[in-house]
Formats: sequence, C-alpha cells, structure tokens
Amino acid sequence: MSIVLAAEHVRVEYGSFVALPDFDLTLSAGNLLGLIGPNGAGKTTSLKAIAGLIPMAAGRVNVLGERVTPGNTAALSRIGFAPDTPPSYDEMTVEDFLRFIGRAYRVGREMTEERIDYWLEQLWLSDRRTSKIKALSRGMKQRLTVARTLLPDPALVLLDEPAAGLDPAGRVQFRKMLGSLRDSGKALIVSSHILADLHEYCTHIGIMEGGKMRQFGTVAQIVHSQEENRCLYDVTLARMVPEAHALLGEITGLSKLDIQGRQISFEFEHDDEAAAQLLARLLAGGLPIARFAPVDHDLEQAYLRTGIKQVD
Amino acid sequence: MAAEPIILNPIGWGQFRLLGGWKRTLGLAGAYAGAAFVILLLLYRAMRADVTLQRFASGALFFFILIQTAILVFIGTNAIKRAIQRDFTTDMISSHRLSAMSGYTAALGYLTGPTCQCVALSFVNWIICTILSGIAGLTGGFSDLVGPSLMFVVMGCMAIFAWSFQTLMALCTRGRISVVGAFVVLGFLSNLETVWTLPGLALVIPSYLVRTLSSLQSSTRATAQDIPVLTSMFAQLALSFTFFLAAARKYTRDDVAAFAGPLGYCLVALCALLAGVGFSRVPQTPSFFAPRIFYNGNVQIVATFVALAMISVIPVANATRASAEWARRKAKDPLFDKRRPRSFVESVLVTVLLALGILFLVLGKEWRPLFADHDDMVGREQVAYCVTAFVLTLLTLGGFLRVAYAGGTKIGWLLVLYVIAAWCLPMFADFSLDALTNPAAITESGRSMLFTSSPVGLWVACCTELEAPVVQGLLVQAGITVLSLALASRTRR
Repeated sequence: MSIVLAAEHVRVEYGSFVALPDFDLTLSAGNLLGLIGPNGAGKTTSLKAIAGLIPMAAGRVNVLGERVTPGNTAALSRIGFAPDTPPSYDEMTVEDFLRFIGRAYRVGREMTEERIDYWLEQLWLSDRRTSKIKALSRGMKQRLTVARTLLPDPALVLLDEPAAGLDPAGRVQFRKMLGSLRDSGKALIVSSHILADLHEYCTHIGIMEGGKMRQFGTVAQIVHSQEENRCLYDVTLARMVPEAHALLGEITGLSKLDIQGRQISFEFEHDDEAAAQLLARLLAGGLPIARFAPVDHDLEQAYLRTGIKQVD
Repeated sequence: MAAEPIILNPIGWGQFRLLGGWKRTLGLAGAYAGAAFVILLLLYRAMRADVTLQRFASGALFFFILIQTAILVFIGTNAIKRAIQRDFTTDMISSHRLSAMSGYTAALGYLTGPTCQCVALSFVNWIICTILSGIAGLTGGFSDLVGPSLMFVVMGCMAIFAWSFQTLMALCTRGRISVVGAFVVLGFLSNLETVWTLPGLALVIPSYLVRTLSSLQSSTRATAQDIPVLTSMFAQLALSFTFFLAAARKYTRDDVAAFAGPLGYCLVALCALLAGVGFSRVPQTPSFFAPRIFYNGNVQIVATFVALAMISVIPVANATRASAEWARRKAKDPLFDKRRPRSFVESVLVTVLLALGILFLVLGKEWRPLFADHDDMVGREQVAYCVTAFVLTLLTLGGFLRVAYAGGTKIGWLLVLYVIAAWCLPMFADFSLDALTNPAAITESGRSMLFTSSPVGLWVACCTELEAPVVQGLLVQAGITVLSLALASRTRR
C-alpha cells in the first residue's frame, strides 16, 4: 500500500515548553489510526503539526511525497483537518459554506454541487441545507465540519474529537462512515476519548502521553500487548469486608489490586481453572461474593493497563 | 442555487456572501443614493435665496468628496480588519490555509471581498459628484483635478494603498490593529503641512486631496500640473504592491516573516526611491501652518535618514532571525539540511547600499544644499560620516537582535528600547546636562560627544550648522557596535 503520511522526528515547542519532543508516524492508504491519551498528551498538537498549521522546531512531514510547508498548497490541499472546535462562518447557510469550501479547493462547480448533495445526505444534514450555520446545534455543526473536511476529497483525513457532539444514532452512522472512508483507501487519524468506538473502526491505535507515543500498533497488538495470559477481574461483594485487602494481598499472582467499597478489581491469570480456584479460595476466606467476572480484552483495558493516570 | 458570483476569488466571494451578497449591496447603494438625493433637495430648498445653484453644487461636491474619503479610509479599512479578525477568532484562517488557495489569492480576497459595499457606495458617489461638478461648472479637462473622474481615480489609488496596508497589518497582528488611526494622524499632518518635513512620506499620503479640497473652498482650480499627482499615485501603487506581496507571505502561517528575503530589500529600495523623489516633487511654499523649518532641506535630510534607518531594520531583523532559527534548528533537527543563511552583516551592507545608494543616486547633484556648510568639514566628509553612522547603527541593532532571537525574545520592545536608549537618550542627556550647567547658553553652545554618540545626533550635527564632535561620537558608536557584534558571535544556540 502506498504511504500517505510520513512524519519524522517532529518536534513542537511552545516557548520553553516542549509539546512534542520527537514524534514519528507513518500511515498508508486504508490505515485508520485512533489517537488516545489524556488531555495535554499532544494529540491535537501532533494533528496540527501534521497539517502544517503550527511551526515545528525540528522534523519533517510528507503527504503523498510532498513536503508540508507553509504555502505549499500541493501538499496542504491533500489534507483534510477537522478541529475539535468547528470553524465556520455562522452567518452563511450550510450550502453556501460548502460552496465556499469547494471554491477554495478549486473543485468544479458541478462537482461541488454533487458532493454537497452526497455529504449532506451522508451526514443527515440535507434538510438543513438552507439553514444558517448559527441555527445549527453543536452536533450538526460537528457533522458540517466533517462534511467540509471531506468535500475536497483529501487523501489524509485528520479528525480531532469528531464524535464529541454527536447523539447515539449519529455516532453509529459516523462509525459506519469512517469505516467506508477507510475502505475507500484514505488514511485517517482520529483523536477521540470514546475508546469503544475506536476499537470498532480503527486499524491502528496510538496511545500518547506527555507528547510521546507510548504505544503504537494494530488494534490487536495494542489490546493484547501486555501479558497475554492475564486478565482483569471485576468482583462485587454483598457487603463491605475490612479484611478483603489483606486476604487478596496474600494471593500469589494477583496484581493491580484496587478496592473501592464493595467493588474490587485486580489482574490475574486468564485461565478458567485458575479463576475457579481463586473464586473457591476467596469464598473459603469468607468474602461474600455477589459477582465474580473476568473482563474481556478491549481497548479500554489496554489503555488502563498503560498506567496513564489522568483520565478525562 | 446561488446567484452566479461575479467575484471569483474564494475569500472575496465568501466575504461578499457574508455581507449579504448582491441583494444587500444593491439595496444599500440604492438607499444611499435616495437619501443623498433627498438631503440635497431639502438643503437646497432651505438655502438663502442669494445662494446660486452653482455655489450650492460646489459646496455639496466638497461634502461628498469628504464622505467618499471617509468611506474609503474608515469603512473600507475597518471592513478588511474585521474580516481578517473574524477569520482568526473563528479559526477559519486555518481552514483557508489548508485549502488550495495561494497566499496571493487569499490576500486579493481580503482586499476585494469585505470592501465590495464600499465600492458600490463609491460608484454612487462618483455619479453624484459628476452631476454636482457639472452643475458647478467644474468639469474640466484631464488635468483638472476637480473633475470627479480623475479625483476618484486618485482616491482609488489612496484606497488601494490604505487597504493593502490594512490587510498586511491585520494578518501580522491577527486582526487586532487598525491603520485608520495612522491615516487620521497623517491626514492632520498633511493638513498642517508638517508632513513636508519628510518629503518621501508627503509623497505617499494624499496631501494633494487636502489641497484640492482647499481649492474647491476657495473656488480656484487645482491641476495635475500644480501637484505631483502621478508620482504620488505611482508611489502608492508601488507600495501597495509590496504590501500585497508581504500580506500573501504572511497569510501562509503566523510565524512566516512578511518581508523576508528580497521583499525586505525591495521595500527599502522603494522607500529610498520615494525619499529621493520626494525632495524634488514636494512644494516648497511655506505657509502659516508650515513654517520654513518644515521645508528646510537640512531638517528634511535628517528626517529622511531616520526614517530610512527605521525601514532598514526590517531586512536586517529578518536576516538575524533567519540566522538564529537556522542555528536553533541545526542543533535540534537531525534531518535539517538547509544551507546556512548569509550573515546579517552582509544584509546590513546590502541594505545600506540600497537605501543610501538609491537616495543619493536620485538626489544627483541636488544633495549638496541638503548639508549645511561647516568650517571643519567638506560636503563629502559630511556624507561619509552620515553613511558610517547609518552602517554602525544597523550593525549594532543586528547584533542585539541576533542575541534576542537566539533567546527566543520578542523583539518589539527591544526595538523600542534601543531607539530610546541609543537614539534619543544621549541627545536628551546632553541637553539636560547643558541646561543644568549652563542654562543661559544652551541654544548657542555646541553639543558634546554625548550628543553625537546617538546616530540621530550625529546626522543633525553633520547636516545642520550645529557644532559637535562628530569623529568622537562615531568612535563611541563604533565601540557599541563592536560590543553588540561580540555578543552576537558568542551566541550559540
């Protein structure tokens, strides 16, 4: 597959603060990368650096072999960037705004009209075509921003918190749309805190913290990245037991113990026999267990396993 | 389907739509024309019986030219400022920057889109003024400035100048700064004729408009032969084009220097050309408001040196910034393979060559009367001292800027501090010391080395009859330059 994005040794500084010390990323056509991490991890900064919107102290970014530099429209116009706060002209109507974008990207007039019809349909905005943007809800504005981003048919799509303002039905629709964009051969990066969604449509996941990529790989690699034979267990007690901590602490092989009232979670072997023995031992120890369940491997678990403390 | 757009530029079209498109523009123009007609009719009917239609039309023409100036300068520039400010506050500027639009297209869009209603109103004003000047019997030939068509062409050049300057300033300051204030101040200075102190500046501000208006009031005719209109229009258009190119560069990203590289040198060369031409084109007729001192060649050449030195800072600052950024990037970026930029010292030399070379080339043999006679200096010596001071001040500033850029300091305050500390303070201190020690003879006695240690003081001493130790002052300046260059060479980042 052809390489769409190649970012090498990207360093971004805000005065004396280093937001991205050394960021590398390569994406091919058909890759959909989900960027996750706490606030201030550098997700938005990395997206803006890739889009050439902020100066880099070091490094280079190439899109389809073209260097991203200020004024290089050949590279910049291949990037579609939807920031978390949607920029728009509130006094314009939806269709006028999209026509304006079509002009700015030199999309022909007929093609612009066709694409406006298509994307408004895809993003459930057809009935709002002649509405002024200021009359749209936050979710609608978010969808309009996605339409604006996709209208020029970019090769690389950068979406920063695109689903933040969407209702549940909108999110389902949005997931499907991202999947079809991925399948059509575009390279996409989506920064989001909705990990369950990312798990569903991403091909790759990048976990960022402190401006660094802590983990990067396919979704399967990230989910099963640590100790594949271990798993998180959720236990609920019928009542609080003060000795629970001491009892669980004695058990060999049990780690990352966390007790919050009647809720207990810990990591233990991912094996039915071992789980049965553990349950028997806990019951024998006098714990009034109301619920005992291993939690399946998912992105959320993988993220929590990284030990990144700040959670939004 | 929207109406077929006349403005093909994307930003221009977008801004036009935001202002309500054709419907609102034509409605506004119609309402304005109707209101103007009704007001003129009512005013004429209210006039005394002895006021003839011709006199009334002449007075109304004066009023509409004032209105037209206000529309172009106040409303037009503010519309551009607001449009750019809105794009920054809504972050639409990022959306534009990611599109296929070049900087030139974007800058042109900001010039044409927000000002479309001003253009429509100007068209109405042109029709009104044509009718009024016909009634007043003022429609003359091509050379008659009172003829509305030529007057509107002249005002159009002024508008292009003001609007391109506003576009540049707004893109440089994220839409925070309006240039209207500067134009109001220049308008007042022009009216008071104090602006002739700096002939090059007088050439680019619409001082001829003031004269034309005065001639309208006095029922005399100002003609293109009286006033250097064509030179002024060329100056405005040339500067507008430079501002436009700079705005196109600045649009691409906030950290991109507007006048980097050859464009900075072009600006200096153009300003030097205008400064030189200004000496031969501005009127030399002192008036009540403009005493002889404003037309004094010695004062004018000092003011020209100061102004050119200030403009010359732009390419020098860009060269020092490029050098500092290169060093910083080289230290941090393993992939960085850009060639080292030329030293800022070279930039200083090129800038001085352009600024003063062009100035003296244009002045030709006319330079001699601009330097007052001195007992201890011949003319060429005076010029050599002035040029040396010019070089030293740019080298000093370049050195300090190199240090500041290496440390990531904002240079705005540094420049202000430098001008106060190195240009103004020594002269002020010299006068203060004299006032304290010998107040009676302050205006008669010569100045000390403290005075000429400021480049401005040295230019004053060389160009006017003031007695002051020029060589010693130059030595002090050279000492400061060596210090600043030493600091710059020690900077490693």
